[in-house]
Amino acid sequence: MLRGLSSHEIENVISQIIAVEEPEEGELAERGVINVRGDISPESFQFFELVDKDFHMMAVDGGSATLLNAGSFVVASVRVGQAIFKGAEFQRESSRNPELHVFHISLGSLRKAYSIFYEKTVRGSPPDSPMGLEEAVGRIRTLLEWSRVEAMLADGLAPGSVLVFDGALWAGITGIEDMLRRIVKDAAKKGIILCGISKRSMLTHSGAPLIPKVQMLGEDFHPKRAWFLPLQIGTAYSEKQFGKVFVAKLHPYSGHVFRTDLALPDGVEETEALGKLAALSNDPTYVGYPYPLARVHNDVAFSHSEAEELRHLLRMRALEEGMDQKSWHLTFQEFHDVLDINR
Amino acid sequence: MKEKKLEDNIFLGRVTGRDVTEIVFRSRKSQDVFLGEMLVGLDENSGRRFLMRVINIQHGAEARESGWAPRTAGAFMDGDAHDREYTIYDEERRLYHQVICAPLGYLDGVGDNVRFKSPKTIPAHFSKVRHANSDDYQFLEQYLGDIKVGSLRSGERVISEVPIGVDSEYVCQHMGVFATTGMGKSNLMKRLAGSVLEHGYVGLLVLDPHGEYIDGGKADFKGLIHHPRAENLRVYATRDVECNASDVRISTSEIRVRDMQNLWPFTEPQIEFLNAVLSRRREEWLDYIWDTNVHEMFEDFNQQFFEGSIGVVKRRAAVIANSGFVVRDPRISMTEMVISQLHEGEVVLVDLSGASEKEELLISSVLARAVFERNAHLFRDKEAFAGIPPCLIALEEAQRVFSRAWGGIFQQIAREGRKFKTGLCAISQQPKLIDTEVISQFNTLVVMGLADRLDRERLTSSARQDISKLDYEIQTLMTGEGLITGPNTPFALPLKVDLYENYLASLGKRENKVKNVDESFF
Ligand SMILES: Nc1ncnc2c1ncn2[C@@H]1O[C@H](COP(=O)(O)OP(=O)(O)OP(=O)(O)O)[C@@H](O)[C@H]1O
Ligand SMILES: [Mg+2]
Repeated sequence: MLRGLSSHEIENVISQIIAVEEPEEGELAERGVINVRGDISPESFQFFELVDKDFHMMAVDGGSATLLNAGSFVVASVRVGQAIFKGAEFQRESSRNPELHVFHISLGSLRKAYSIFYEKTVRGSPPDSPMGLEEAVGRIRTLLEWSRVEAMLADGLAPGSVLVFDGALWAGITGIEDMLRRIVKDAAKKGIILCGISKRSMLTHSGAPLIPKVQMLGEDFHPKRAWFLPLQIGTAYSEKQFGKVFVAKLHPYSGHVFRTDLALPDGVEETEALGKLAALSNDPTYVGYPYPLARVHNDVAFSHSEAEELRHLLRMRALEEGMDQKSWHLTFQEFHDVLDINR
Repeated sequence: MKEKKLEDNIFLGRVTGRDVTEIVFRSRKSQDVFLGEMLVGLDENSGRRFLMRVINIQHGAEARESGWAPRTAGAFMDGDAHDREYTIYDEERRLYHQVICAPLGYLDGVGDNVRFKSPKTIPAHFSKVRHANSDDYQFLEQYLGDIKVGSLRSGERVISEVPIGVDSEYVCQHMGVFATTGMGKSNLMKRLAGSVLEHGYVGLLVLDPHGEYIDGGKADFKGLIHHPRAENLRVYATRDVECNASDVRISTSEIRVRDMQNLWPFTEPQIEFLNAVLSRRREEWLDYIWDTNVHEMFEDFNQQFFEGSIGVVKRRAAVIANSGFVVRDPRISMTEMVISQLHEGEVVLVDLSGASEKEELLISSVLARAVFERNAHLFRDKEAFAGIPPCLIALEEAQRVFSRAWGGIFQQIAREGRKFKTGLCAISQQPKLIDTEVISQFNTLVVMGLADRLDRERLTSSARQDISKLDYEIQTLMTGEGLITGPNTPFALPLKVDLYENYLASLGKRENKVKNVDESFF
């Protein structure tokens, strides 16, 4: 029995989930919520051919973890890495070590900590500041990811290669538009296909989440096929959106479809880019998702034991520097833990 | 069967855990590892080398969720059905083998100070694992036995650098050779006899019921007469053979009532009659029954026994006495010759393929008893006893004389022969029919492929070393492969027996080499 639950509130939530409510164009764009327009008919879906696996694919992703939380400040870690594949083969030699940062952010020093990373990656000083600790960690991770993408482009990849990253070609952080423009231009110049694949998307259609809707229609119209659907995004977002946006199903038996952003060099067709992505999306565990991206995701994500190890390291150093055991404990103990233990 | 050089130092994987009874390591999926292979876990901290044998191999996958493998297989199958190709990316990282090993012990120390110790500790976490190499095997030298029969084996590989044999010092503590039919028992015995012909460590009496030892029995096969040192071979035969052979002859005085009882079931009154004859006529009991008619005997024993009982005994005695291999004159018997040849360290081959089964068992019993009793007699004379080599009596189809129902000389030798330099080599394809107590007297066991679980259980329960972990391997042994355990082996030594014909060829080569050297010298 869920005591105190009002059935009225439940009804309300459900009607809001179901309701179709068309927002104004640009209303929420700042936060990434974009309403896609146009009808979705069977003819809107397009198809592509698999491409032979003799090209390179580079994948970039980042992971983060909050190691210590004292309420007014956190110690967080961010790791970004890349994986280079030649066809199905992982290229150990050319895939560099991941980059790992551990940093302290307090509400008081928020701007300062953010600026350090902004300075390092975008260059210059940031036009705005994150609103909270969590947002700051998220932004730092995004900045490091973009910076890694830029570094990869500088590494001299062969034309026709695919550089795929986790996310959209979308300037979600104020001030990074120039950096993204730079990246897109550089990729185009070098003949590299730039591609973002989003695990989660804020795109909507007629007010409802777009991806599930497209997936359902796609399965109805074209069952057991791989396809892609170009989206029409209003011009109001052109300042922030780089490249074209699609929803793509990269494997006929995939249970997932993804928002896929593409910035293509001259002469490269969308179908070639999607064919290349799909060519490496046939691992049975990650059906419909490019394996290199899955690999780098797993490489950079912090496992429980890694987070523990970092925490242990920090604690040992703090104790060596004279902090006593008790104050460490009192500073970082999570009352949630206590509540959970005594439940 | 591959012969492969040992010196590959490829690392196969790293230890992941378990305990002193079982060591598990992760190996590359692409790296072949086979059941029965001898591996070394290198403990880099202590410098110890842990010797171990592969007893099982399992699939492993670095997958977070349970049920990953069947689900992935399902995806592949679905792909097959719809002509869709799936690829496992990063296979080497995500898939591996989990190899389970039985620890054999470890090598401690370096150079001349290497000591082999029983597995009382475990290698460090993540110790590297590699194939054992000749350096690791060096310590084995003192345990390998002098009567060579083959080479050390690691899984399917033959380690020809490490020859393995039976220890002549322990043959009088008896040995057993067990294998399902066709797995290579007789070949092993020929190979063993070959070593004895070469070096004469023991006097070897081979009782051959099938006639396969003299010349191999079939075309392409070779026998003991083809051995370059066949001058040390003495052959007795029950049939015409194409070599220098003496006739098989035993005398009636060497046959005991007990021998007769092993050949036929007798009723109580019949046995009583036999014993009565024995106590009155002693050695001549059989001659007496043979020579005297039933009624005379009836009267001789004061009509104490029914004529019917006497009649049965007489008919059976006649079967023995009428055998062409049984004579009355003790001077014609072969036993004296056989004993002296054995005492010379020769190989005495008695081909019994021309005899009936009853004759064969009778002759075998008489010969075994003659050797045993002579050696036991010599035991009292220290000097003479010291002068004789151990005598090993090899007996095919040994389950026949070691079943519970069988009494007599073989059981007695199994119990007492050790003291009197008389050993048995029991060869059988059905150890399950052999009395457990008898098997526990066999201190050296050569176990080859045994398909029957009951056969294996009989051995694992009485072997000197614990070979129960090797049960699966014993099932999968190929022809000529085996495990040898003995009083002096540190663990069950995996063995590949030389094919006798190959062994002869290699002997030939050796001799030729020597000749060539001589020729070029002159
Ligand atoms: N060590 C060996 N290496 C290779 N082949 C072998 C080896 N031993 C035996 N064989 C092959 O197996 C055949 C059967 O061997 P063998 O006659 O020794 O078996 P067995 O166990 O004595 O059989 P049985 O129970 O019928 O007496 C041989 O003829 C030979 O071809
Ligand atoms: Mg045989």
